[in-house]
Amino acid sequence: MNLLKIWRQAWRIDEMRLLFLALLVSVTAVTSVNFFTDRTERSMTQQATKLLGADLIVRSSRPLSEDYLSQAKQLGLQQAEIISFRSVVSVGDSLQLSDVKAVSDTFPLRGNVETSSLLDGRSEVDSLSNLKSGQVWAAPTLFSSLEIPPNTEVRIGRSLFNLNKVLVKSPNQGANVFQFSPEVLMPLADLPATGLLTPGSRARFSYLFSGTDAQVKNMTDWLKPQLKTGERLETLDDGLPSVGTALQRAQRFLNTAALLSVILAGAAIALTSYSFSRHETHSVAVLKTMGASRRRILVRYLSQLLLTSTAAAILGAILGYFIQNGIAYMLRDVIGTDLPAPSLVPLITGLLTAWIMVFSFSSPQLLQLVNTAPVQIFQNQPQPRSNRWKLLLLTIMSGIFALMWMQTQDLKLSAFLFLGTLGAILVFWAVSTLLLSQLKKLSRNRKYSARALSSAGNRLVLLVVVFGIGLFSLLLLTALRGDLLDRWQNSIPDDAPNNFLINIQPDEVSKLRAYLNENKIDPDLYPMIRGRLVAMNDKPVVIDDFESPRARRLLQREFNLSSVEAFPEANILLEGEWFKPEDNQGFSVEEGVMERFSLVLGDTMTFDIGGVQFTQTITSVRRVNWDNLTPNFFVLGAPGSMENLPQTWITSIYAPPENRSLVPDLIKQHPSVSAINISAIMTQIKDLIGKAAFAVQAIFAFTLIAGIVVLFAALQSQKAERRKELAILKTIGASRKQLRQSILTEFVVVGAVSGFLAGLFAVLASNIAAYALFDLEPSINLMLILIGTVAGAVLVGIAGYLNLRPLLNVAPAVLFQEHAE
Amino acid sequence: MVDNTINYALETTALGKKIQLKNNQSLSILHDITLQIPQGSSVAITGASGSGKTTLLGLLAGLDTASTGDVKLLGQSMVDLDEDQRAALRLGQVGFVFQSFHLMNNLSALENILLPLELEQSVSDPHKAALEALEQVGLSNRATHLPTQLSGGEQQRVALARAFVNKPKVLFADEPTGNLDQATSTDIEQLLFKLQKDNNSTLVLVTHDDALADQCQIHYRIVDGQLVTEA
Repeated sequence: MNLLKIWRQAWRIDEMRLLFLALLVSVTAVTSVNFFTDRTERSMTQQATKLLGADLIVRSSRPLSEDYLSQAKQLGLQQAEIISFRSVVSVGDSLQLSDVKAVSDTFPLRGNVETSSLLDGRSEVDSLSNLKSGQVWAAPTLFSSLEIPPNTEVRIGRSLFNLNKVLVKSPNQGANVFQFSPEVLMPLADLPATGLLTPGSRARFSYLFSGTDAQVKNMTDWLKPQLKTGERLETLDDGLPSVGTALQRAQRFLNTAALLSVILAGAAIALTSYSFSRHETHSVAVLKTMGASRRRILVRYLSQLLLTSTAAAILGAILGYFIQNGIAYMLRDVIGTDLPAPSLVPLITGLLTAWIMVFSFSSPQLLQLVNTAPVQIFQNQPQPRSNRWKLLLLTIMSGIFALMWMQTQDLKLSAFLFLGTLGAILVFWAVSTLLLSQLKKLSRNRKYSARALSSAGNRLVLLVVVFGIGLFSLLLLTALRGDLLDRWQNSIPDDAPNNFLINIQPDEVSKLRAYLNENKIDPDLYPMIRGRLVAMNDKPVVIDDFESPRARRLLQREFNLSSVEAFPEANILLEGEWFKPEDNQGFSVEEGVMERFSLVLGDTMTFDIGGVQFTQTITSVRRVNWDNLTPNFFVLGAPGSMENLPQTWITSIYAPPENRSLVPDLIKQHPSVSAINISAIMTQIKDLIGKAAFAVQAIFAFTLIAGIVVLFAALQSQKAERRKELAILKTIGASRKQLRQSILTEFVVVGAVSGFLAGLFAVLASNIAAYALFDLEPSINLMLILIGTVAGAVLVGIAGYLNLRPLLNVAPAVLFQEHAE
Repeated sequence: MVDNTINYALETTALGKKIQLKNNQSLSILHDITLQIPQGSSVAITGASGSGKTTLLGLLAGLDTASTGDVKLLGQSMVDLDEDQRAALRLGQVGFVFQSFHLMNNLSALENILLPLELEQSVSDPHKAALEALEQVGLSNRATHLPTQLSGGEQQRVALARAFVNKPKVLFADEPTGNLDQATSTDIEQLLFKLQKDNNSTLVLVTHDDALADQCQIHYRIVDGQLVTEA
């Protein structure tokens, strides 16, 4: 049989058209979402790489092996180099310890440097090729602490430089805000003349690489096994924790949104396949009477399904592409016009989605169909066939899981969503079955409309499950979008700290606090004690005992310890008890450190602090919100337990933009204090979150459309059965009013029950998601349940009534005729 | 596989059918049915509603399996054949006509008639053969029409054309005029017997219409699960 013929014959089957429509909707949903997330994800990644200044960085304590550089060259990667060290910048008698970066003129590979020729002037995008030999650019704080204007001659090491521009923004500055002094950029070629780079000097060598995704991946794969002690690979994921987690969250939101549309469409496909296999029973029996073997029949239906699904997938992918373009166009002000071109991956995903859906959702029914006994041809009604439900459940479940995994490429998220969906289906099924039996009891001796409800049988259960899952997806997305997104965005409030003040000497604390109080700022000041972890449970620490790179990295550098009386605001106490004011013993440790070093409550940790061994027992475990832009510590000591240890103090403050002199004046009064302005990085993070929010909203709108189509598809699949039922009822004298009432009662009840259950589950699931996936605090939103119940009753009531209303006006004889056909 | 020299299109020996009831008891619908139907003859089976007429038809055609005894269709015993083997036996040699026509709704009249030819794959020009069959039933102008666009009588004509298109040795008909009015029934009956004669097919007809049954050469009645020959 040729393709056209198969297509033409398949297209004439009602259920095949419905299947096509359901597949089209789901593939369009999946591909438009995937095309869009593919592009926005890459756009966000690009955005974030701009903060890093590159796609990939190797940091080292000594110059890098030439092999690395030649490998990068061979792979076609672009390169830039930074040698950074701390040095004093001086003008006359004024000194300022600064973070000097000698950079190659190819820096930055991603993102921009912004400079200004005036202290308060407008900043403009600049290029390092404008930084001539003998010139340096520096962060505004250097100017204020040295009290100099631009174009002043400064000394760095043995050389004199013209400090000619204010460095307003530069990538690669957010890596470790605690170690920042004013940033100074100088040409790499001028470095030898300063005499600062001697064999013993503590310089850090950073090699930046950028290229295509494949090039970067090749380089990363090549580099990983080569790295020696003291060399470290930094990518977007671990380079900038705040941006990294923000990006991860954004991607999870988008994927979750996309997945829900898949689940939604799955309900439609399952329903359609169900009614398809039921209605085709007689056709299979006829073919068997003619002598067709099971194999022949299987091939016949498989080819129809394959063709239908492939056609739906191709058309859906094309539609998805255009819809995605439309979304990108509508959001051009927010996400910019320079989105990368979509890749072909979503197209393949679309095709796979259609095939997985159609075959996992219909193959058991197809097998059952093929095994129809030919003698069924003599029976008027197809026999109910339920013996295959276990197989059906298994293939549908594996299909859903495969789709989830394909969509999220995240096993944990898939497993979570899968179990959630499974639980929801089971509960929907159990509750609606229970409800049905109650209604049957109630409706005895009641008026007609209620009796009709109870006689609706399994159809009612099926509708509650399908509508329930559909509404659940929509409500969950509403919760995720509104509730979670708001909370997440609020996690960085407008008045979040934008300056870190570090290197505050203990004797300056009270004066500095007084100055800030005068300016209506009440800062949380923390002592900061630097110590190396040398022993755990009195057993000396050996780096080689640890495999995890993060654990090794923690051991190679010094910990920042602190002690506070009040429990830090943005932390969550997981285990143990927080210090009492009178306590002077104990450590409160961050959960990640506990896990990495396999520590438990009651273990001891020993730090070497300036040659003094400081040992304490772990008395509590905390979860730390690293994104909240206040000083956070892995290890906190009891209040007062660290008073005698060498320390400096740290705080973060919000300096309002209108109070420009606040920080410079503070630096003048406290010359040893360093201020780090993090507004730039914060703006970038907020920008990223804003974009993610828009993307999720756009996708939400699409899932809503998919949900409505699925609702109609579900109704449509039961239409034949209802048509016959209405004909019988009309024949025996039911009035149109009675029929209308019974239809409305059935759908309103179905809608309300599904909506109620959907709301309940959405609240539960969104909270589990908030806690487990997005690290946000749970909160119960009862409105969601109310909205679900009302929206379900109204939506399903209206949709169901509209769907069946035309049948109310048809003469009963016609209904029978149509059914016989 | 099939011996062309056989005398009987259908033979049964001590054929019986029991069904299992829910309370672990069984109900015997047919028992001890032994008959021989010569090639080319026409046989009617009548009986009251629920007497087992259709069950017997299903057993004779190999659509269902017997509880006891054996059926030989075109000389081939079906007792040891599985469903696909029985289907292969029917392929190209057995035709069916049903009370409710059972045309495929997604296929046009012509495509419905083509179906058995496509399954059999032995006719060199199936399209031509199907058109001829359509012409024989007087519907050549309705070739592209879907079943929903045809009247009941027209649908049954298409069903007849489909049943006879590959010149079956045996044709089973289950109440072929049961859904039609009197005038249309007469037309269909005449067409049925004409096609049967033209193709020299053996006709096994189940009906509760004694007038129709009397047009057949042999008339059996099922009484209490057993076969009684009518005069």
